[in-house]
Amino acid sequence: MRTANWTDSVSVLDRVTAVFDAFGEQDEGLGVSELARRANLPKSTVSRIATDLVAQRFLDRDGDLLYLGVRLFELGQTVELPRRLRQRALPVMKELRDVTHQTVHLAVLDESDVVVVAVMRGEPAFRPPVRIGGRLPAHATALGKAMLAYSPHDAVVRATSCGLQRRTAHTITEPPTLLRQLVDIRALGFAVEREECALELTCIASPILGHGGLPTAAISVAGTVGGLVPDRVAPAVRAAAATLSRRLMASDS
Amino acid sequence: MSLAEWNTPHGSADRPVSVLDRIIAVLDAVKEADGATTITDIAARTELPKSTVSRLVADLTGQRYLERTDEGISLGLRLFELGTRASVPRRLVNAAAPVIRSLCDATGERVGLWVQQGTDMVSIAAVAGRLPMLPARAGLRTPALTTASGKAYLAFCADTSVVNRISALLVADDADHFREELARVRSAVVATDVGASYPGILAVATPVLSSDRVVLGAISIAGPSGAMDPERVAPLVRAAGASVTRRLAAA
Repeated sequence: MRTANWTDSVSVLDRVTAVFDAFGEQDEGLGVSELARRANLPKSTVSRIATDLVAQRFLDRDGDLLYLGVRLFELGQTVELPRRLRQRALPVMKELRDVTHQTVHLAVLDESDVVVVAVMRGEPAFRPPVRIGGRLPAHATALGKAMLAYSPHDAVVRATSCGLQRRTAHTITEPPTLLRQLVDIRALGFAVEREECALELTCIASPILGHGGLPTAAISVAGTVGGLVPDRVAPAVRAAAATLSRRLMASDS
Repeated sequence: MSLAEWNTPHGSADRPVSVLDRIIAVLDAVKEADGATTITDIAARTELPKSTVSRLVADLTGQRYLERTDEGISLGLRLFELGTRASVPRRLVNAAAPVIRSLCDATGERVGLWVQQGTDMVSIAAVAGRLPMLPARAGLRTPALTTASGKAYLAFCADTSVVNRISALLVADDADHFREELARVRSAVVATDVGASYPGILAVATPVLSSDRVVLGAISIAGPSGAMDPERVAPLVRAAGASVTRRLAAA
């Protein structure tokens, strides 16, 4: 039965989103009770939403467990920006990986976060804890700082207005410190992250700039603190970003 | 808008009725637009009033399911993120990996696992056999309309809009023949492609179904035509599909 509440599109959407977000980064199946607990919704509500979402294949049911469904996979594959970026960027990312032997990431900025849209693995000995579709705080990553450095002032203010959450002892948590670093990044053309997102992880990123000099994405090389020398890979990262900026602008116009 | 208006079906039988149906109809309309679109276009595709579409688009944009740029309305980053966490391809690969490996060992031919995307089948796992012609790698796209894996998938696909979209290129007799072929695939549970997609390559495929009979993908075997016997491999492929379905249900 649908109550008056259920017919309000925002509240329906809020509940659907709460159910989707209840699924963690690990690809795990959840029962209705666990889903209800994580989504902070009544079990009866979750049960009803789940039935509708399973019917539409936004969720998959396998026995008693629910999974994010094949239709989300299909819709996700169609999202224009990541798809276009990946197509254009993969050859450049591969080159950068071959030159540096390190893992290469491509990400876009979404308010105060970066969303990783492509990963090209380097040496298997070290796997940065970053995956495609993953979301990381912009201020704690070279990718995010590289894009913020080239973003309009109001976008930077928006991205930092909710406070800078600490990820490690090295994360920049003071907005003035971050703003000073953004000025330096603009001068250098690349951003450095030293254990600010995860311990042992260091990362060098440069922005991919579109029309008007605004960042559309950023490309980075990630490795261990001991294994990656920022000054040595920075020129290659900058060159890769410049190549991609040119190619994306040429294909857009 | 009154409650009755929300909940009572009226006009076209296909018009989405519940709020969730409308939300999904809007997402599908944006997906099918293939590039940035407009409120007017979404309203036309969904047969919903422009005012309704306008409000849903605002809600969906607020939660990043959609994105509004200078070019128009397109699918948003949240869908990209959710899509990468969707478990189907990974669950399929996990369930199918030992099965496709043993099918390859038993036949010496290339075996692939495919899911449908748009008008293509996309390879999510493959084991190379004696065929040197095609790169047996994941991520390879082939047309769903002519390949064995595509026909195996479409024959069991309950979503007629997918089947219609993919077969839309066919006219008159060809469309009839295609429908007849899908009916044969449904009864045989195998589809065959005798060199129509790739000259000289014979492929036989079977659907992979979930425990509640929803088609998730297809398993195919491909070898040189004339050298691989379709009558011999068909039962093996069919058994492999059933085995993956069982493993999925048990997972």
